[in-house]
Amino acid sequence: MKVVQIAGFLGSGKTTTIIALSNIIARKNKKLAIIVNEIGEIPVDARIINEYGLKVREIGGGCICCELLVNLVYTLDELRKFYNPDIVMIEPSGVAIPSSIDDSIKMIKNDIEKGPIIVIFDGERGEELLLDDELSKFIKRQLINANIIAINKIDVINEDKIKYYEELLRAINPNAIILKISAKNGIGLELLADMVIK
Amino acid sequence: MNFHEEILANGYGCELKIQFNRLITPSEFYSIVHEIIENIAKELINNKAKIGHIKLYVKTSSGYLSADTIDLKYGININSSISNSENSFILVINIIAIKIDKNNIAKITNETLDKISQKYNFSKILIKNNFIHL
Ligand SMILES: Nc1nc2c(ncn2[C@@H]2O[C@H](COP(=O)(O)OP(=O)(O)OP(=O)(O)O)[C@@H](O)[C@H]2O)c(=O)[nH]1
Ligand SMILES: [Mg+2]
Repeated sequence: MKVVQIAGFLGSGKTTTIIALSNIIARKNKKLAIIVNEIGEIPVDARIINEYGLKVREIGGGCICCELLVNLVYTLDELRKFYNPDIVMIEPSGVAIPSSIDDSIKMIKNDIEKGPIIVIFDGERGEELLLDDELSKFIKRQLINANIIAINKIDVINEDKIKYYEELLRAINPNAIILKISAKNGIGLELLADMVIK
Repeated sequence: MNFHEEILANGYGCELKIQFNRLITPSEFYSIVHEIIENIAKELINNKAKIGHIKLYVKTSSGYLSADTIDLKYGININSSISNSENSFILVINIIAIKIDKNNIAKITNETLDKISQKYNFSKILIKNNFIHL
């Protein structure tokens, strides 16, 4: 069972990406499960993912990068025992720090393969967020330990902007693979799905 | 210290049963939902908050609708598979905003829902709500 995080700031397109990737991954005959953590007990994402007929577990009432880490470990263990998917995609809340979640995935021994940390960067609103001092610091913390950074929403931004983001993101995290995607119209998702699977 | 306190993100969510005394067409559902999101977003902006994400989910017996915005300047996104006119639905709203107190997010949400319920003449029964501090 391989565990992959699809992280990123609020509204960057994590859920949209996960739903689109799920279709591609299912076509490749891989069994898939999704864990969504939304802050609060009245989540929306899990219900939407569920409408697509996907196997989804939600962890609510807090954040899985801090107080709910134990729930995440438990949920992963339970999925492995009773459903045994090939791939689990985790959507942390938009205000989670992906590296903290990664640390706890590493602690689980039982047949869990740790996949990449994928951080979705919002190509539409990214620049605006990075202009805000505090948000910019926070977003950089989300990006800094990513293995893959996917610049999303490239359907609504121009080439120059994409290039600008690529340079900016490379400076923040020189080790990450940088992809350009549109979760909405599917650009770049085959490649991202391959990276999730392999 | 909690990581999230760095960016002062707060949230509010609620689940309601909405009841009309007449049938509402799919396109009316659409405009009501649009108005709810637009009004909440406007009020958050008026209160100098930054919208993190406003998300809404509606379930009826003929389908569902999802809608959201990250800021009005980026538009309101609505997808709907509701195909029949109906007189009741379940509405779930989840709001995360930055630089605003959680009580204020709740107040804005509830006042907006009150205003829209009066305009469209529907009653609402609270199923669940919560105050969330990230
Ligand atoms: N134009 C465009 N919009 C997109 C794309 N991907 C996602 N969106 C829109 O961005 C908004 C947020 O998408 P979500 O998938 O809900 O984002 P999220 O990261 O899961 O949000 P949270 O879970 O609240 O943090 C929605 O209105 C999506 O339709 C894209 O590739 N292009
Ligand atoms: Mg989401």
